[in-house]
Amino acid sequence: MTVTPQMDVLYMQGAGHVLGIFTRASELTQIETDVSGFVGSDGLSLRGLLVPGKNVVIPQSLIGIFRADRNWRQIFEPSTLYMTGLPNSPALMPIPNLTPFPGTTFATPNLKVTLAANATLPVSIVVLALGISGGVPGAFPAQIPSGQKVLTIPMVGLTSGNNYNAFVFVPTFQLAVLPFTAP
Amino acid sequence: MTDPVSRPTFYEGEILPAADLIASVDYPRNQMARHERYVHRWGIAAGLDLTGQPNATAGKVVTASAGIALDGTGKEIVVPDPVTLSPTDFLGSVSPDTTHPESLYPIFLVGLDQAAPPSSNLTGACNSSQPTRTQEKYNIVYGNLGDELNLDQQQGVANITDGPDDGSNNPWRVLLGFVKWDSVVQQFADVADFNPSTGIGRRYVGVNAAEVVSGSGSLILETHPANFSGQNPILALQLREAPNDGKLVFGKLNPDGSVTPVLTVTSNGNLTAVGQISGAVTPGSMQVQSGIAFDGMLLPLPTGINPNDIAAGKVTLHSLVSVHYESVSPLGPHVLVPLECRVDTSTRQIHCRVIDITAALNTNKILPAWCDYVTIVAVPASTGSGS
Repeated sequence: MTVTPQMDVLYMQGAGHVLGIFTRASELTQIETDVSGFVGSDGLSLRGLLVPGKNVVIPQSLIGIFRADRNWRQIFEPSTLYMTGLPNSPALMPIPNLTPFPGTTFATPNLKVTLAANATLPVSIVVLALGISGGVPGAFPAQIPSGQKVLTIPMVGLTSGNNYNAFVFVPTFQLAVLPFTAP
Repeated sequence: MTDPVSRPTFYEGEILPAADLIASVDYPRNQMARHERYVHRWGIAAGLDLTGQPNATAGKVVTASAGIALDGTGKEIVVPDPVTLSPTDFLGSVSPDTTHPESLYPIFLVGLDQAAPPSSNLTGACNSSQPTRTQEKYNIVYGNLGDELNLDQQQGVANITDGPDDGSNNPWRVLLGFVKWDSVVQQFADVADFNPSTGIGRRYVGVNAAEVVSGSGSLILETHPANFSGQNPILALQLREAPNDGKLVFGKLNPDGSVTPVLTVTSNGNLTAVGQISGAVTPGSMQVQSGIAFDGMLLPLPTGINPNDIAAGKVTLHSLVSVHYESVSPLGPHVLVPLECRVDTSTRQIHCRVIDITAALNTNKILPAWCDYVTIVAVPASTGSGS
């Protein structure tokens, strides 16, 4: 039992985007690291919570959990928050750029992510490819090395010819969506 | 047919041949070996600790302390003085993996009987001196990677009546620990008691017993002696009689031999735990959780409840969810009605969405929402009111 009311934060590992926040009247003494008690084995299905009108399914393996002091405003606005200081000293911060990441393009077969400037530290990003009307989903965690600003990710393993949405998680930006046809 | 165990006997006036005298020595020795072999478990009985001290130039000097071990044939192996492990002997037996300096090579102790040098003062009938002693020596054996596996599969003695093995052929190996090898300086780099990659460590003697009886009113199991100085706390399990009561106590063993209890069970069934009890829940009890959750996630369970117990029908899940309207905040005045607010009973997934009936036709009318939830898990009682 904790004295200060807490809230549990589910976030995208690597990129740090907050996926959802919930509360429990009684928390375990030890902070959990396993999200299987809160996310189904087929992933976390977010229907419009991150992107209005879009269903985003996050694989369980990409989701982390963190506990923070309860903040009612933050609970209901998860898409404006991200985790920083991962993995050693995590903290919940507002996303500085409340606009979708603008630097994503697609030219068969690659999705290209371009930062505004060279990265001073390695930048972890995650791209989820989800079929608009079916098709094999894909998750592409990647990292832009320091000193670089462009990353090319081949969209492999998807259902060829199907229409997909690429959900691009880039730190400090809101989630970007880019439709493309799988190569 | 195996010959039965025979005990030497003598009669007045008998001429004693050497064989009868030897049999007089062998009888109790073999009897002791059978006891060690079948009543006890082989391993280290005392000492034989591997330690590494920095070498004057590079690497470490590894020493096995004096001690006693029992092998699987019932043979007692005594190391009377500390023995320094030889890098030369190591290289003579092992081909170190130079690409993995963290590799752990097992070190074994084996017993070996050797005839002592003949006495120079005594002569036989043909004026030829012969040994009058057998020295119970030992050898340090350097193993290759993984040689510590399957030590229990070693071949012991052929017959149940046999005495201890003499160590001349495939001697029984007792694991003392492990060394790391520095291929650059050609010296030992470190020692370890346990190999985490195989899960095998130093093995100590044990006992084969279906019943252990104490005459003192107290019986205690200890992971080390109370005065042992190591990295980990020493744990103990004690059964202790008391007037009109008695208790089972588990906890850390103190240097004075007492146990600091963290778990106590009295003879009348009362259980006291200092820490938390997790896993199994109390029959007839209810566990409750409540809070706010969002559309798409699984319904949080009370702490200590295993989801598998719900799926297996060992406990019953009751849930109540209702839309938390504060969470839905589209711009401007809107009228919201619930579309769904329920928990999928098979997956525990929360479905909580509302419809914005004032939204324009070309906007998103269905919105995800949060819900207030109460979860109750009921654990069936072992007996009911009708019993």
